[in-house]
Amino acid sequence: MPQAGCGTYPRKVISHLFNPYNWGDAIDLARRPLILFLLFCLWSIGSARADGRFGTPDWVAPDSLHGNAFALDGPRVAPRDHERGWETALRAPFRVVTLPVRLLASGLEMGIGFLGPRYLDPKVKAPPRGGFKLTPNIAYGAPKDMGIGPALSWSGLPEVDAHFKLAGSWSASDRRRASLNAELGERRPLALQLRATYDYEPNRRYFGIGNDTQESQRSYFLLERVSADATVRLGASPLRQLRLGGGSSSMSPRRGTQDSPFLEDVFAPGITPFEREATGALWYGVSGDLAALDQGRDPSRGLHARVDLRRAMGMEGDDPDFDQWRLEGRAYLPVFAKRRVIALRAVYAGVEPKGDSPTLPFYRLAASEGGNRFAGFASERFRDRQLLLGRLEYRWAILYRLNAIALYELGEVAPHKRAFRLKSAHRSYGGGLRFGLNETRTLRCELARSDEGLHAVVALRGDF
Amino acid sequence: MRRAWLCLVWCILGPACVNATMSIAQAAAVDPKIDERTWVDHDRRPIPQPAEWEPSFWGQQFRQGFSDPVAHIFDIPDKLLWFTQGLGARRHREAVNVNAFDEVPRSSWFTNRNHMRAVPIAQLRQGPDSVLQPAKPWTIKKAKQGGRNAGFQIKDADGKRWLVKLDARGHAQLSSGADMISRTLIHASGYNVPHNEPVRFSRADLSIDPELLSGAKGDKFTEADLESVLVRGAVFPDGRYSATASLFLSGKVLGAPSMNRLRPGDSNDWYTHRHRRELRGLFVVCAWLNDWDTKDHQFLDIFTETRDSLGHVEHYMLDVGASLGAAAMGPKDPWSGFEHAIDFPWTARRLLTLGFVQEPWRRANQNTGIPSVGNFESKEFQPGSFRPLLQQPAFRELTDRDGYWGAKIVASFSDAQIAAAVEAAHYDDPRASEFLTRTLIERRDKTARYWFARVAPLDFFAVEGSTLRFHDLAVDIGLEGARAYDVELKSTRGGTSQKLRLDGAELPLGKFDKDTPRLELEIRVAGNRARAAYVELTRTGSTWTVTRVRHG
Repeated sequence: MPQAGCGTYPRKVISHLFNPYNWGDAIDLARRPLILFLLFCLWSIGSARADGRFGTPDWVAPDSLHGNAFALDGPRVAPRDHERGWETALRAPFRVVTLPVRLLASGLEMGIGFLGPRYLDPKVKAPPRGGFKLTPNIAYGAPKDMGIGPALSWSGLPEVDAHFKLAGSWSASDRRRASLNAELGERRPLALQLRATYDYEPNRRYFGIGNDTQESQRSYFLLERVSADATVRLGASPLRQLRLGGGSSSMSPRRGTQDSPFLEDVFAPGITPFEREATGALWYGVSGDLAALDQGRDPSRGLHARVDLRRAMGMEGDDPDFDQWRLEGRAYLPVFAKRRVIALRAVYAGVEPKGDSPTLPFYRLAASEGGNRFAGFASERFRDRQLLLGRLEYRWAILYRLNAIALYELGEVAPHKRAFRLKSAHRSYGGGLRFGLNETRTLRCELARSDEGLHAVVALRGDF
Repeated sequence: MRRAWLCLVWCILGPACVNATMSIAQAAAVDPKIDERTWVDHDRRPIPQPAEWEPSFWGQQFRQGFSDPVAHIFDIPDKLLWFTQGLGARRHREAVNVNAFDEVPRSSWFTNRNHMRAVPIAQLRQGPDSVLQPAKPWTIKKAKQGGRNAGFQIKDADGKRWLVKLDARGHAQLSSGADMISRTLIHASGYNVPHNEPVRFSRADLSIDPELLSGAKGDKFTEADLESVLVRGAVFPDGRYSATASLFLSGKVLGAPSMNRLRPGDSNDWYTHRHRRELRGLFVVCAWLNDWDTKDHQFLDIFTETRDSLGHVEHYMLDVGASLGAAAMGPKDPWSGFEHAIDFPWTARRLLTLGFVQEPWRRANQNTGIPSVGNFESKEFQPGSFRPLLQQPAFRELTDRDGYWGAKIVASFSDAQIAAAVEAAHYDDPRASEFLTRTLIERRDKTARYWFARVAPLDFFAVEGSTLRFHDLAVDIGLEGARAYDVELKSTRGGTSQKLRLDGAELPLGKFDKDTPRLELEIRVAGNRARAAYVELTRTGSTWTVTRVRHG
């Protein structure tokens, strides 16, 4: 490889003087003897130059490119920069048309710019400092049920690993929620959680009881729920945890106030059990998670079992006693690579009356909602004593933490387990996106089709 | 109907008129001389200090990461221009701050260094400042704010202020080594960088400023806070900590510039940053060094006062530690440098192939197994396919001419210079120095091959006596053997055209008619599809001079 050497002074001088690249500078330099002197000094120590890679030095860079000193005043290389006139003319109509979108993007940019430093900046994990904090509280749910309100939290009460939170929210559809949550030993293997909630939901859906109800029978009712419970938690990891708990739950159905038609306008009186009757129950039970997964947030291999068993006793004479359960199994299998996964999920949920309680209130039956929702159907579309759901998903990573999913699902409700029939199961298929937020929470956007049309779901759930 | 037509005409002509009027008004207000042959773009004229301003960090992330790429996908005029390229429309605008010789004149952004005149090894190693290490003991003056590395601000025993950033736990010399190598090579390339040095220190070298300890001035930093910072840092076997020390820049900090607009209040700032050649060409340098974090906030503007409260703005590139195989929190993610954080084309490909497409970064064997190097390689490296974390507007505007210019800088580094830059990081693990030197040399050669195949690397045109001489950079650096060149020659007199073949990099000018005042040459490498170099020669008396050069 040819390497350049250093030229002798006369050769450099000649090259410099004859090189047109230097002429503009030469004019500058002639005006400024001081700079000329400085450059001469630099030039004289030029023998310290390293060998360049670009051939012999018959081309010599103008000295004004080097050294630390040069004139503050002098010419610019080009006039001010402006968009080409014809380009402005070409773009102007499109700019006018897209103005609303651009304004929206600017607004989002400003909003993220404002919120980012408060919520997105990486923070050093320091021990939580005790103290009282008042923050906004957003309650997730259906778009109309997105509630907002205040949250009052107090970390370190009464000790370091304790947390207390009182939150309330109110949505545009008049859904009112309040919760009180106190946790002792947040990140410890043994923890105690006390919880009380109030939920006033004026637009719950009801389609009737059973697997063959009609979508055209959609109706609405109001359900007011008050619950309080205490849970002892064994195990710090949410994936290996046993929970023992007990508490009370009271539910009160009434005539809806928001969407219509109302339940009583669609179903004849007496058909719907406990149509207007509130019930209360004291319960105790055990729940837990046991998982063997290769990773918590986006598992690609492993098994996960979830169990929730409860026994409830009516609080008053007419209130029914019942057993309630929810069993869930998940399995993950990679397809030649961790980024492609087949995920299976099966849910068996139910409620069974005990002793002298032949019927159960319609609002305590297992319903296809939340984690039990059937993908291609409206939320709460089916309800009965037992519910079975099986889902097969193919997930593949398309971006950091973001997976695309293709899903196929079978779901069915029945009065007892022998009544389940594969041919009467409701089928859904579709696809969507899944974003793993952390080990216990994912954001899912799904679009699924069934014989009742297309249904979209955006859910921020702590599962699957 | 007539009103609609009027509206349409107004929409089209209105902004163009406003644009033109603004240009005229600004030109009238400031009337500097324009000299397209200058080698110094005088943008250091004394001005009052501009107000502190920088784009919002998270807003900019949203813009560069999401809204700009989406807007670009739906940019209909851009697509129209793409369709009409065959008719001569130019989709991408060429860089604006380029002189008649297709070079970047010196400015507050850039100084021509290694590609013009090789930087001596000692000078290259020294970097931007003569001081080498912060003198111990150190006094902590403030906790580090922002960024992912743990660290603090110190005053050294000589009274100089430094920002100390610890390497991630378990990865001593990873980020500090990458920072040292990259800052050395980027500085020698011509960019302004702060003086960063890899340092080692022990707990006994540190003390906390009493005022900071007591919180007398608001900020409080206790011994416990210091422990919580140090526990996140990398430790050498002898118990000392591994970190980067960055000397504070002198002058008033104005904030990060935006690549999409000019700095408010800086009347020297004439050229939209994304249209600056040195910022577009930086793509090639960053690709070479895998400097994958190049968002706007990795740059910093400093107001340097010269006299009577007047001064000028200097533009620096900061924090180049997220380069080679390193990231702030450990080895870089395998996809860094291969994909944007939100990369729409790759996302679409993965979506449509159900995840069965194999990306280059998955094929690449990036895990070096050397803790102080991280994830780095050269085999799958494609110089034109480098992708920084966010879409950098200046990089998106890159043309072949800009790319060639950047490649010329990269190719100008000799093996010895690269080895010296790597040695400057003082790796404890000898495998690290050997691997990085070899990999950087391989990446440099790939870079040169890629861009020199797109634009003929014919440069440094000079007339000696009656001969035009030039350099074939690919031959100079040993990528190619001696080769022939095709010259298409146009004289302005009569507009005649003549084709010649040269066996070497010189063209005798004596045979041209003495009455020919100007020659235009289109020179390409024989049998090569690379875009030609254009040279304009003007005769003054009996002497020819090179008056214009354009590559590609």
